[in-house]
Amino acid sequence: MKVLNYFPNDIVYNINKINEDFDYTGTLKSYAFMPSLIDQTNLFDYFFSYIAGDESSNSNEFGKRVYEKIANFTSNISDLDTSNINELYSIYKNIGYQSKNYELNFPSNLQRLLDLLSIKYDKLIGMDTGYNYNYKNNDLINNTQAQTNLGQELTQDSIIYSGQNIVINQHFQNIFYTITPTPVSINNQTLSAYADNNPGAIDSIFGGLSAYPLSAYSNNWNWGLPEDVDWEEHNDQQDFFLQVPTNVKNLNKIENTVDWSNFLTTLSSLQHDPDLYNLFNKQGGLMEQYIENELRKGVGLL
Amino acid sequence: MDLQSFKNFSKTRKGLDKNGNNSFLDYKTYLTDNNVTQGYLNTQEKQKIREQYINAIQYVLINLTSKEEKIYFKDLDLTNNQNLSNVIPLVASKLKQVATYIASERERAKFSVIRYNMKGSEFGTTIYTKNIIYTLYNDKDFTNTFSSFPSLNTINFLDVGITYYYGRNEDYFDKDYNKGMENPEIYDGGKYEDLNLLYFNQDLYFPELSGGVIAQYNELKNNFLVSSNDSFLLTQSKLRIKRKIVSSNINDLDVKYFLYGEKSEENLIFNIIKNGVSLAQENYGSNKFIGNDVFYVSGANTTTPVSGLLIKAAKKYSNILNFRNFTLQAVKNTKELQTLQQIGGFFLPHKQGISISLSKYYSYYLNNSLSGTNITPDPKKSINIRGNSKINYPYVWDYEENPGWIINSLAGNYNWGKIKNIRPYQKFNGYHSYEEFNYEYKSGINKTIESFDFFTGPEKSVWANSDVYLSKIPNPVPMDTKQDNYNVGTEDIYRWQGDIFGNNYALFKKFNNYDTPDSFDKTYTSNVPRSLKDFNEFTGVITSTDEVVYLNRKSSYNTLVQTLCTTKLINSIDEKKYLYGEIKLKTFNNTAMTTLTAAFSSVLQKYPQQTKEEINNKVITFNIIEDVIIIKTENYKIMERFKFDLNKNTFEPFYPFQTNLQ
Repeated sequence: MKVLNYFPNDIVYNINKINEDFDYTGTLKSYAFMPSLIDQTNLFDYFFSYIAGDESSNSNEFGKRVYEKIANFTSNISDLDTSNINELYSIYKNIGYQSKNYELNFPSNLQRLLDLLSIKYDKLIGMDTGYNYNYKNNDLINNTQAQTNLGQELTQDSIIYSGQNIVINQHFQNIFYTITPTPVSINNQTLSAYADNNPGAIDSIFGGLSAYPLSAYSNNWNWGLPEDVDWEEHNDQQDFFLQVPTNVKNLNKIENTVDWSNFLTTLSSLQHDPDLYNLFNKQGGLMEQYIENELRKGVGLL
Repeated sequence: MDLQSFKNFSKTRKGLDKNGNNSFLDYKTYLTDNNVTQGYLNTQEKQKIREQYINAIQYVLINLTSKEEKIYFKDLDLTNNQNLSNVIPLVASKLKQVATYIASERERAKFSVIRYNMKGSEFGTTIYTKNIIYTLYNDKDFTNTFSSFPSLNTINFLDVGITYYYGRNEDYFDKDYNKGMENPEIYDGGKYEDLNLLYFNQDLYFPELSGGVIAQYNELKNNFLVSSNDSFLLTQSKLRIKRKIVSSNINDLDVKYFLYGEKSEENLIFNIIKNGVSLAQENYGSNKFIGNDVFYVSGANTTTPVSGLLIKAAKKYSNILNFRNFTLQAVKNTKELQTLQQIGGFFLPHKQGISISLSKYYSYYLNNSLSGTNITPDPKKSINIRGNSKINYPYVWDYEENPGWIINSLAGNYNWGKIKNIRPYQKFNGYHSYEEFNYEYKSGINKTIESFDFFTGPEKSVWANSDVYLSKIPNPVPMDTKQDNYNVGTEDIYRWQGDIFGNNYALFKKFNNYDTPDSFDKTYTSNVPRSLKDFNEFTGVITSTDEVVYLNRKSSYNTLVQTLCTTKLINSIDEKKYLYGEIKLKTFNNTAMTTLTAAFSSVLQKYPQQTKEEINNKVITFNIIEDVIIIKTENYKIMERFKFDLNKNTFEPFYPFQTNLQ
């Protein structure tokens, strides 16, 4: 029996390094001003792109490789986190660190791949932002990219829960600050009345209330508000909001080496997939697929 | 099949325009048709790359595989595509492992520097010792031999205490184990009693480590635990390994400290002296780092003190800076070293310093107040060395110095006590310049009072003859005239006005109680000169009720006096308003001040005498509106328009008639 193996020519979920999106032909074209040059479709669109590639070519093309080496020079050479393997061993010598020698000398395309994959997963893929404190959008930032963490506005009657962050906007000087409510002891009439009506809100360990109405605010909560909040007038002085965590699915990962904004990075569609680590590292996962694909191309099996 | 080049390819095509339009696209199609996909390479180049990749695969199969895998892949024919296809997944997974390993190594390398720094530190030593102790638990030889060693189950908490072998108050140069003998309390905890120098096991002492600890596992096993005086203390669920450096039992020492391998006091190498040098010193080299011979002195406070050579310096001149500590090689500290240029002058750094004083002739004798055994460097060469230390070394010697070699004796008459002018010695007499000391500057412009000049020769000070070249002040200040012109009186300005011509008018009234000496009301004349201090006592002029007294001293005999009580102080607005004053004026081009009566004599000529007198000294207030002056006196109000002659500086009436309001 003969087993038919099928190996695709290209991996579905591809990755590219930052600065591997260089358009060699386009750049050369932008340098040309004379109409007699610009109109040379053959020269630019066929000849130059044939030699060095353009925006949509493979990362191993001449134009992209040269540009990446220059643009990423520092991180490729002297950053312990992201440097290429051979340069990494050079850093080890510098600091006197001894490690098993894998100073390999492989074909260039395979070497590029190993350099990329030997970066720590967190550094390679990047991380989700944990920043949840953007309450004002900068006018200079495109609104489609930006999101604020201001949630639903709270009123006097809103119930707040301990541990759930709320945001106070002080109108004077337009200051936002974040408060994490804690369980409070039942020390005023509003709270005791609420506790009577809602016995479920009583924290059994602490003995206080873990959920309580906002209007019960008293000065010993240390919220930095004026001593007695006048709830009739409070809208003139401050507003209360719920804090909404940043929706990371709308943002690219940060502290990354993979260029998520490159349209050739097809892994982008999975960058927020919770199973990505497993998909990447598992046996027969993406890491092995990249290497395997490169080896097959190299020996001419693809 | 060899592929055609683009040039040849386009030649064979017909119907193309001369620019070769579309020929690139056609050529690309041609290449694709001929199955050239790998970077558009020809077959030969493709083959080369294939070989490189196969080499790489082979490298992985040889170097990165397990023994069993190696056997399996040994005779594999990698030129066969089927074999390659089978092998590639394994190679990929091996390379993935390499990549993962390197990624984890990146993290470890980040902390390597911290790990290096921990070596020799107290914290690092603690961890190292704990590691050794935990390793001991896994050593079956050890646990079998020392069955009393508490089992790991009974230990809740392993506490390793590090004891320094030198006091923490000591500096680098103080790493001298002798201090343990003299001042055992400087050790942390002070657990070590009665250290005996001769029995001291120098191998266990690690002065080069700041934590000063244990070198190796073997040593811990052999030397740490075999001594009968070492003990394990199991208290309050804590394991403490207590170790004594010194045992009073000779048999506890290692065989290597005895001659011929026999453990006896005679054979102990510390006790064997050969040519004045202890065998131990030769073997362990404590005499190699000291620039002085070291002696011990015992019983200094008794009638029969005992002393002798302890260590004979082997290399005096290579350790010339190390006067005191024989366990450590002293290194010249260049941190505080100043170059000759930085110091300046003729002070040579190697000839001075506060810690080294040179003495040529001195005599020394034992300090009787000392007790116990003390160690001292050779007193013939250096006495009472403290060194760079915070420890108070007891002074073993008292000494007297005969400074006659550098200071003139009484026989030198006028020179006695002064430093001898001997060239070879640095003498520390302070440097000062002639100019700074005498305040005479030999440069710049000379003054008539100076007796020297730039010139040389017999007439060099010709300009200094004050009788020939009189000093004369060229333009003295005209005190007499200025006194009259300026307002130096005691009156206050009540009102100030200017007129259209630029002249200034001021009404002066006297509100204060100051007075000029001319009008002082008392005169004191004495036939005996009095100082001002004695004035009160002898004259009786000033009484205790007088707040302040004004004195105008004419001479020691004659003094004008006024007390504050004599004049009245005007304070209220009403009083000030109705006090009579006098108008004075300054013309715009003259600093001299005149009275209004004098300056306006031609203007006021037409008024009767009584009015003129009131204008002179009974003015209540005045005002000037452009060129009209309005004066209010006791009984009159005068309005007068006037002209001012700029050239003659005189005032003229504008109208010949008078205006008189009453």
